[in-house]
Amino acid sequence: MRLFTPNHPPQLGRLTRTVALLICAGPLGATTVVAQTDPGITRQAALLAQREAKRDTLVPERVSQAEERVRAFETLRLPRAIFVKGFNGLRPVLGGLPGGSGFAFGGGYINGLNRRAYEFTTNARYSTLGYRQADINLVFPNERSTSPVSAGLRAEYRDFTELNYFGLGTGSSVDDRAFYRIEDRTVGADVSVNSTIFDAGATVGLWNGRIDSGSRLPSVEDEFDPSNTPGFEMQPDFLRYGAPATVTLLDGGLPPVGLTVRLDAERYDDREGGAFDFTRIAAELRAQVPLGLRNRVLAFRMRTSHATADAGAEVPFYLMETIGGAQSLRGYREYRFRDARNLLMNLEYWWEVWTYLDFAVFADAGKVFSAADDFGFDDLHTGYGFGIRTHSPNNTVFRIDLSRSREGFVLHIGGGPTF
Amino acid sequence: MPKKPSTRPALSRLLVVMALAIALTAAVSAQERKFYPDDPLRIDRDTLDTAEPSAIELSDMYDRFGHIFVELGTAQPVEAANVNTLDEVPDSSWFTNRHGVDRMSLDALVRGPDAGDGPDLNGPWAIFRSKSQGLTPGFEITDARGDRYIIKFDPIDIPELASAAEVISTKLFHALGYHAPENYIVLVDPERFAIEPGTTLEDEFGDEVALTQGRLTRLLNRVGRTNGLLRVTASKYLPGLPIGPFRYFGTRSDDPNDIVPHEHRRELRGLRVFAAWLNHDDTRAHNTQDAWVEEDGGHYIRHYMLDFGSTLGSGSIEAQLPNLGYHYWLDLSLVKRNAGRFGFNTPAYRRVRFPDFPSIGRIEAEFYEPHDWRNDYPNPAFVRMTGRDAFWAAKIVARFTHEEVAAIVATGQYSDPAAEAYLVDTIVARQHKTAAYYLNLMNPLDAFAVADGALTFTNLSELYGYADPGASYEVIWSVYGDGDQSVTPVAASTMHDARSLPIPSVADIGGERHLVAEIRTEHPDHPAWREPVTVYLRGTDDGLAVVGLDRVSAQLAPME
Repeated sequence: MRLFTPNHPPQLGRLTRTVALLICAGPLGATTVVAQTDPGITRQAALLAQREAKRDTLVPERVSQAEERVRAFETLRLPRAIFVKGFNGLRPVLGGLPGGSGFAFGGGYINGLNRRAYEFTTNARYSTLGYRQADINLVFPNERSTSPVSAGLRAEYRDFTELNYFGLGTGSSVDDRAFYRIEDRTVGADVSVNSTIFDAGATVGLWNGRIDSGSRLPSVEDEFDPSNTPGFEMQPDFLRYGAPATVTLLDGGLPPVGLTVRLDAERYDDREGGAFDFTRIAAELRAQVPLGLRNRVLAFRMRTSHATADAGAEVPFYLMETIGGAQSLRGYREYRFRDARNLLMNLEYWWEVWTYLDFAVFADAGKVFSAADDFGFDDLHTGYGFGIRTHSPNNTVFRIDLSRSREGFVLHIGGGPTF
Repeated sequence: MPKKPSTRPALSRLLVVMALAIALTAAVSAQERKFYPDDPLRIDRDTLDTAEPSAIELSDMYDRFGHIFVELGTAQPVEAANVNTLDEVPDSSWFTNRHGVDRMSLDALVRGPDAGDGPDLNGPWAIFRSKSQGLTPGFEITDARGDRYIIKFDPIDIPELASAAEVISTKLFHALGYHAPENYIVLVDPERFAIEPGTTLEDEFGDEVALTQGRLTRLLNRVGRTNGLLRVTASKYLPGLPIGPFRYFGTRSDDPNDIVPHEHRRELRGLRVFAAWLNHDDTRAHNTQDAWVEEDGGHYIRHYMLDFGSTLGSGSIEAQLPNLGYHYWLDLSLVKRNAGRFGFNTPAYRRVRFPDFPSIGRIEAEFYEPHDWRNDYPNPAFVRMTGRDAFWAAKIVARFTHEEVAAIVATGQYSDPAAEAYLVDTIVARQHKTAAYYLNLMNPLDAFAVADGALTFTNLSELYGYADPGASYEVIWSVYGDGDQSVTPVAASTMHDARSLPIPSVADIGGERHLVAEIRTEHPDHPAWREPVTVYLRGTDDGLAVVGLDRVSAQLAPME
């Protein structure tokens, strides 16, 4: 029943106008008004009758069972409560191990989320390929603080059981794939000074490690002679210290665009004779440039790292940086290319599909080399692909990249940005 | 004065038309009558005594995804079902005609729904409930008078943002006609806060700990101060028993007064226009509240709009996200277009440049398009808005003067005069864009009255400067019989330049016989104004009076 007014009132419109034109009613004398004598039922009375009729059939208002269940889930405040704060600080941990380690999971504890002075976290992870990792971190103050100075104490244990090794140099063959295991412990401290544009800090730590046969065959010592696995037979402890510095020239837009330049200087002192003393210098330039509007962004990274051993010393193969894998050369396996020096370039074109979802096409190029004179843009390994990223306004949450190179297709699924 | 007679059609057409007229009369005679004696209804007394209803709580996620993926509500009727015969919304438990009908004084506009002067600043504010929203604390307090308030703070690093938006929009939505809570900006000494025994603090993760003086001090230390005082929004508890939000579709099954599906309520459909004007993207069930109130010895449910913190340029806990207002939170059709076009389909919001006024947030008028504006996610009432609904709302929007907007914005107590001036100018610019768009879509005649033997009216578009002057008006007079829905022409069409149409002499207008004027507007820039407005005049003891109005709804682009 309609409430107030019929929705299809008599249509006078063109019909009436036409009839009026044709009939052309003549003057009807003065307009006279007839007084209302029999008002009959009123609109208000009709509405009241409708309401009284409904009052006889009332049932309690309630939400559907499905909605009740969803609301019950919401009150648990998942996943934020579970993955950020946990139950009394205890929380599950997913991921956090290197690519190629399988599905990683574990548990952690956090204290200090609601404080500003410090934040204490500890985590332990295990992967389906048997990788293990544990860490303890104490940070002053916590990330919510706006303090320009921060410091941290950290300790970490890792046991990665089947890391890829394809030999040294940019000409290594994928068919020479072998495996090794690294089990190490690190304790360290860091301090940094942070501003909107410039961050600088210092790190110091002790590294104790053991390199062994991989849990999967062939193992490195079976495939490569000692000259191709420097540091495998003699494994010293290291005192490690360094000084990272970053200049960030990004605006506050979504996504931010601009430049980031990072320099890292890191020294490894062999504590058992100096046969493996070396210094590593790394420089990285990242640029994000909007192509017109910010729904189209061209992102570029160029990174080069140079580890220089002291006279008569070598750089251990397990402390060399590698390229290949989810965050470098995506068309290749993790740790595919390894040497004392490397050059890496990534170019990505992102376009906004939804506020929290971007698609991307990308191209990667890079190489490793041993001598500084070999730095250059020749003999690069290349790959290209397509990616999907889900993100919050400032962080990539989840990423899928399908990449192709001359060694085939590689699919990467994980969290965090490529660069 | 008559301007010119219209041309005559051929005789053969006459026969066809007469046959159609007979058929039409037969068709409409089966319908219910158009007018009741108490029309036009100015007040809908939807206050039938109601037993205490049950309280409900809705799920945020269920509501969001339910509205995105399911079309909620019913398709019929197409036009709003709670308008009176003048196509207006009567006062009810949902809506009170205020500035849209009788111009409110500047004092009344600035006062808004406030019945007092806010929480008592001469006694302690006893916190009895506490909840943090991110880093921003929130309390519920009892003041020395025993009144209860919800106390909210601005985002830690953006002073004034949410509190100003909350208070300004409260006053605007109140003036528009909605029931709204009393919201005050208060500068309070942090020492005034006391803690009721047993009060707990709920953090952002939902964990509760005892609210101690130390925790309270730490919370308040995060908040910026002005001369040692904290700036807060104090929202007074609504009268009556809160029973949860109202949905924008269906009816409450335990409310006898709730007989019109909400998606067919004019004031909820037209809310889309108001929300677009004031960038109220958060127009969803969660920001409403039904209250079971007592009045004159009986009880009924009154319907409130709540929480205006996410209006104008504010996103409540941060500046409004740049995409909100321009697109749905999840606009599936846009996602499809974006995905396939390699970045060359640019979402509208990406073109927008917002000014740098942190206390204002993100609101602008240059890129704003009233009909393209979107709230957070589909609203069943909004998607059903017709041209008539929008026209009704636009009429109200247009009534605010620059001075009135400025006076209301001043209640936001911005410390930056440039920011305040920007917001005033932006609201006014959006107001005119909004009103002009919807008024110009339809024949914009309104304010019909009988005076000195003539039917007078206003051309709203010309009145507000949304169209160049120069319209003329064609009128056809008829007699309408409400008993048999018969239509009998009484005069040939005539053209007029003046907005005053002499009423022809017709005998015995009264009872079921109504005098009818069908008016078309001629304007070279607005061919849509040719669609007629039909005005019904009833005989009363005091002479003729306007009792009804039919408008032809403009076709609006659907919300995707």
